[in-house]
Amino acid sequence: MTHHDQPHDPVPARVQRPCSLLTSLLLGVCFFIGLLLLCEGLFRWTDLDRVFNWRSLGTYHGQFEIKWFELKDYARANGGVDVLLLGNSMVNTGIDPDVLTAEYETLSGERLRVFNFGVEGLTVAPNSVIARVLAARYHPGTIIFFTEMRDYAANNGLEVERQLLTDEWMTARQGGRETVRAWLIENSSVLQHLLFFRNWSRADFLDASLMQARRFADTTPSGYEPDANVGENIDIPPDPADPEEQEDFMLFSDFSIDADRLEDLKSILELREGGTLVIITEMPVHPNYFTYFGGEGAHDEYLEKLVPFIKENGGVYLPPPAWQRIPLFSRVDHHHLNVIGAILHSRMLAQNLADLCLNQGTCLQPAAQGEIAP
Amino acid sequence: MNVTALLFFACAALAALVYQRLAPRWRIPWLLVISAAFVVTWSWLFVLVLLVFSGLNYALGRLSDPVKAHARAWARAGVIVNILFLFLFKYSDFYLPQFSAMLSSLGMLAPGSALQMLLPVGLSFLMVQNISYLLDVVNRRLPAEKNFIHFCVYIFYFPKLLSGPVERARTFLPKLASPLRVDRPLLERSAALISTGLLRKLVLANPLFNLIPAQAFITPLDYPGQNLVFWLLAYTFALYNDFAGYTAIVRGVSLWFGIELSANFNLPYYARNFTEFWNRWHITLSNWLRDYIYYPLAWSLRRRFAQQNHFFNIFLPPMVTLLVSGLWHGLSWNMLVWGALHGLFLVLERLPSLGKTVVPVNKLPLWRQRLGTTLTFVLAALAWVPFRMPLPLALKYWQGMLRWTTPDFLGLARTVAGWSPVSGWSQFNLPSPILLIVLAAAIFFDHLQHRAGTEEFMLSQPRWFQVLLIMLLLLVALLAFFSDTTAPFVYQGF
Repeated sequence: MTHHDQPHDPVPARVQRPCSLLTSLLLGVCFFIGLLLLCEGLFRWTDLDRVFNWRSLGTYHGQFEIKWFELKDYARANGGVDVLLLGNSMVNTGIDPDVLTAEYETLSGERLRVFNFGVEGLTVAPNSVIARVLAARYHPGTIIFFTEMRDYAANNGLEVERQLLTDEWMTARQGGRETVRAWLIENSSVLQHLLFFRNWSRADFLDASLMQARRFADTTPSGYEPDANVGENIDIPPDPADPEEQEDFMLFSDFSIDADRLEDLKSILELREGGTLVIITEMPVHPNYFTYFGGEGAHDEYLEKLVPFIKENGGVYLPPPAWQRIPLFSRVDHHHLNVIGAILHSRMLAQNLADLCLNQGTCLQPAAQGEIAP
Repeated sequence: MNVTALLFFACAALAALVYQRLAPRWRIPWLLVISAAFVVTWSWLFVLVLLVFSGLNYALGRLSDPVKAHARAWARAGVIVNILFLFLFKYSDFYLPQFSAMLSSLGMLAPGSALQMLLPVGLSFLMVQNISYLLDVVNRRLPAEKNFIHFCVYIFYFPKLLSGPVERARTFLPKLASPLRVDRPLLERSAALISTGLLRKLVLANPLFNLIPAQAFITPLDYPGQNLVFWLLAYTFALYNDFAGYTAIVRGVSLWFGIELSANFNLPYYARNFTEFWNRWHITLSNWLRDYIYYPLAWSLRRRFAQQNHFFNIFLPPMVTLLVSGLWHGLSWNMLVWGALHGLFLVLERLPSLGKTVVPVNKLPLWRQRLGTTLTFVLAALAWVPFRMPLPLALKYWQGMLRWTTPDFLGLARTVAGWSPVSGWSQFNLPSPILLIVLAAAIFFDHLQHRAGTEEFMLSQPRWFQVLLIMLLLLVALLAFFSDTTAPFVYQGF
């Protein structure tokens, strides 16, 4: 009887040889790269990109990134974009492109693809850069830039401008040095998704990312972010003694138009040289807003300088709808509109634009034929 | 150059390849060259300071040779010189402002910035190594090193330069003279140490540090007590994983040169009492303190107070040793309190021995061992508070930990159900779930090491798990490359 025949032999314990960690290291690297490539393919060639739409460019400005990706998706879905609305948070929450498009079509008979690229905190300086970048990429027929007095205060928005415009990726988009990092961010879809989680180990990550995800969800495909809040005491002028208002009073009480900022406006107006129609307008803010700058008189003085400058540089100035036509309950504060205000304003803006087209011959231009978004 | 940087590994690998190709007599000079090059990445002035430091200690070592006259006096002088050197550079913050102000008032140039520029990295670690060298020479435990280049490598050797391990010359110099053969098993061990170290640093320590809001250590009373408790736990594990990770990385890199550096950590939070804790935490420094402070003091006291259980014999050696440890970490009241607390814990642990024979900890019933582990962990964690922040803030932090507020579970449920808009996490007064996950991972990581019984536990894991950990490490490293946060090694500050 051999030992194989013994019925009650215990099963010999399997000798576990330790795995080679060096081999595992190599396998880990290969699998990781393979997984990244697989995800890249899935994000590029399937609709997975839209299911997981939280993306980032690694910049400091979360809302700018939302608009960037929404515009990319919008252009992809609609075959391009005809009209870009640029400005700050007032534009972001104050114009619904879908309402504007529908109203304009009713009045003028032309259906245009309009996208709201209003980004909070951006003055004319970063907007002039963004306008050039977007014009080069999407070739819109028309750019409507919503400007306001704060754009021309020399000390306003400097930090946002510095952080956004000096970003490695943004620098490359402006025609600066294309680094490996910037190239990867621009071209890798999987990296853009991963970048959303790049600060996962920061204490404020959950707060910031949940908010960012919510804003991604709230922003409509045409770039409008509705605000449901209703402001209080809008008909009362801001009080310089109120500690919460003091910063704005300090920034704007000695308001004067900064020459450099005018140059930035000029660079937006120069986009007409590439065939883009540039319209400059304002939002219908409540007149109490001008208290920070010294009252409505200061605004009139500002317009007396700004409007001729726009015309001298070949631009079109479109006066905003009368502020009285937007009731107080349609406002969030002195200068932002809520969801009702945005609908009202979008209609009025469409009427003004149609009026400009029908009566003055300056019509919104669609993107040139064949100019399709990347 | 940071030891987690890709460039560091690339340069070290290249240097190791050259080292293996060189004839044996050129290898040690080569180690000196690459170590000096590593120092130059911080500042070339550091090389000069370290050369002066090495030359001085080399000469003092030769003079401390017991066959020579006045050897003991030279050794004592050497110890004092090293301590002065430490004060001159490292603790300059304490005297330079006043000194500079005095010179400025006399119209003279203040030396502050020059001294700070020259501050060599890892000076505290170098100082204790030199003191041990001089004392070992004079006590005939080690012959004075005759080869200046060998001695310089003992000081400069780049893997241990920044934050140790604190190597003794009597163990390091023989390893230098006859290094291990760098073969496949050694490279496997090296890979295990490096991957463990990187996982500890990048996946556990950095996130745990960063997940604690900076303001928590500045205005602790602004936060709910339960969050302060979890942040202290996070800090407790972050600090350990940071230093243990660093040590594992440099030990792994050192193996590329066939030189095995001493282990520094052995699951300190598994310690069943504080004596065990100090045999598991920063082992090389603890052993140094034991050999050069604790034992000499204990023997000296025993000569004065013959009774073994005399209060002074019980109280003074641990208290003085841990106070010195506190001062080594930083010349400040909070570090002193941290040392004093640990000293106190050790004294309290010894008090029962005054009245009866103490049962060794491993002979105690299991429940008492577990209780001991829990108590030791809780007290060690509480003691990290003054380690992290100045005393007034530490007191506030301890106070704040008792002020719990009811978490907003209802709000959380409403948000999860989609009835309330998502607007953040901090409104719920709950610790971050990410922090809890990383904490759980840190505990699991230690559990793996405990089960395997070795720091090189990666070697005994199944293939799929090894691959998974490597992929996790790569993912975290990729995110860290693009992230807006950095977390330098804490112990590089000492």
